[in-house]
Amino acid sequence: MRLASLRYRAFKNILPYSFIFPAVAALLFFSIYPFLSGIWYSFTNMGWVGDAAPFVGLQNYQRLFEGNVGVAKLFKDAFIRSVLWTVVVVGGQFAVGGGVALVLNEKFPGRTIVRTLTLLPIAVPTVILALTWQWMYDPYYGLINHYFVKWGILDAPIMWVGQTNSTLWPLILTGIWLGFPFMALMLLSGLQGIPDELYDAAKVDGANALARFLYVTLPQMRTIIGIAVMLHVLWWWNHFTIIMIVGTQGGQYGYGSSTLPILGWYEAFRWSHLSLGAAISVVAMVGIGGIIFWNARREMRAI
Amino acid sequence: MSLPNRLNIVEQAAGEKINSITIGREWPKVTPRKVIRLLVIYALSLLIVGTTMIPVLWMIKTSFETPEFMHSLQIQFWPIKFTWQNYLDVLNNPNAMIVRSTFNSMVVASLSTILNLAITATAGYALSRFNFHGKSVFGMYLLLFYMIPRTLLLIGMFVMLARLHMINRHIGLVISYAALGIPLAVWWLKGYFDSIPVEIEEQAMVDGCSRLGALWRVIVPMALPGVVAVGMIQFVDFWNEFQLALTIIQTNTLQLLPVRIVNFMGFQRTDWGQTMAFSVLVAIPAVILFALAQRNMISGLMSGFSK
Repeated sequence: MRLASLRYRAFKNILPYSFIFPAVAALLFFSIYPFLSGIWYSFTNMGWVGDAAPFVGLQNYQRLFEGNVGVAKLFKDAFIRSVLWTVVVVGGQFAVGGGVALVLNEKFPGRTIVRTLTLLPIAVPTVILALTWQWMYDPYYGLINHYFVKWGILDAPIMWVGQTNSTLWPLILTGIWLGFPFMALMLLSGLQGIPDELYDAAKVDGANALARFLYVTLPQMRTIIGIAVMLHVLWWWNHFTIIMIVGTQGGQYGYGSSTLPILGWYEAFRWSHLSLGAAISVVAMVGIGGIIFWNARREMRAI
Repeated sequence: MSLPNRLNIVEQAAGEKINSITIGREWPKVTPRKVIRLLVIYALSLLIVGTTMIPVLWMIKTSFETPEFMHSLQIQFWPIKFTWQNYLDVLNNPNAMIVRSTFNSMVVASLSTILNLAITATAGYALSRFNFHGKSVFGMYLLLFYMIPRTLLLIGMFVMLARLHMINRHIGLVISYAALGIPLAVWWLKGYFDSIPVEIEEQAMVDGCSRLGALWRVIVPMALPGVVAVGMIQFVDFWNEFQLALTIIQTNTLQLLPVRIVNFMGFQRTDWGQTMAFSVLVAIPAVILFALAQRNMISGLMSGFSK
């Protein structure tokens, strides 16, 4: 009896670990190890796989931060573009997605179909939507040039993307468009979690629609908004596909409108500087990690 | 607001309730206010749906347009002359390799999904039900995972896969996808297991099941729809993935659909009709699967966050 209970206790203690073991092992081998080795490579001068990769200290980082020519210039430009891209794209997604969530949260006949059509682009592969946008930005027969000229916004069609002097703005518009349905979905699920009683009580207290929004909806949504914005900042800081396809036309025009993930990828896989690509990515990670932690600490203090 | 005024409103509200009870089920009264509210909502809905759907409609329209009209300056949202020609062309175009790359994508996405679920299902259950040392570390890593740039992971992974001779082979991609999908899958599955009351399991154990017996006989059948839904979402994710597929596979015949279609667009520089027909064909399976799974997705995602 005693033996049986001992055996049961051992079984009970081992059970959880045996349940998570496959996931932990897979993460250790195929996620944590590549991550740590990637950081290590940023301190070596590895060019391509199989090269000797001696430790060179901070040399790669020095190349990124010192001077204003070559890769240092590209890095500085890409860093500024990354910040602009993330702030404007996530800001736009939040503004549009928040508005959409508020509309979809209303009760009206036909709500389901509106909701489904709004969320549909989430399912379509990003690559395909990026290609569609590239076709819409087409300088000769694209939809956007056509209407801009027709409405008198532009005098003549222009090359929106894929040129060495192209700006990030067309890509930012695409990014906002691509991401706002998911932002709306997350915010909507938060809105639906607010109990009706709170609104009824506020109504009884004489609060008008604006006051109900400011003093019921916003405080109740605080956590969800924080999570949604934080996740989107992380996702879009690291976003690759749109800029790769629309901005550099599948990798043909190089650095024209590249952000940090694109520059890092080019350095590593197009120009065979794995260690330099790793260093760029490490800087990108430290930057975003710093902001997230600073924000998390501030939130903690506020509570 | 003064007290009498407030009481007045309460009374009014109560009065309305009594009225509606005594009169019984009746259509809500149509007031100008309500009509205006609905009109505003429909106007906004139209704007929203227009914004999300115009690029999608434009893609579909282009895929059915007769090639001669593609480069006309007459632009409209229905084909000037409807045709299936683009679909036939792209299916027969040797540059598209559509059958081959669909097969590649199917194999890689299915194997990755199965491998991923085999690893994560038990972990999601453990995180939902057990308390153990290191649980918070595990949960924390799932969150921190998103801070790691894909490019950095990819560099480390690429070197590792090269040493294992898995570059330019599907197995390398399957392992990468299955591993990179772990955090999200565990997250969703934990949320899903949380939604199954623990009492059901306890009841089964009271009724004489062992812990594992209860898991097998009660929880597995109940959790199956959730696991399938997570699997479908993961499948769509892998089906749509671009960066790893672009980097790890280099040979044309081994490429997956997203990379194939971008390369195809490069070959057929101006043939947007075929490119968009290709796009529609790639999007259809993802949209269908997503539509089937999305009901469970968002609630699972959010409950994962809130606990």
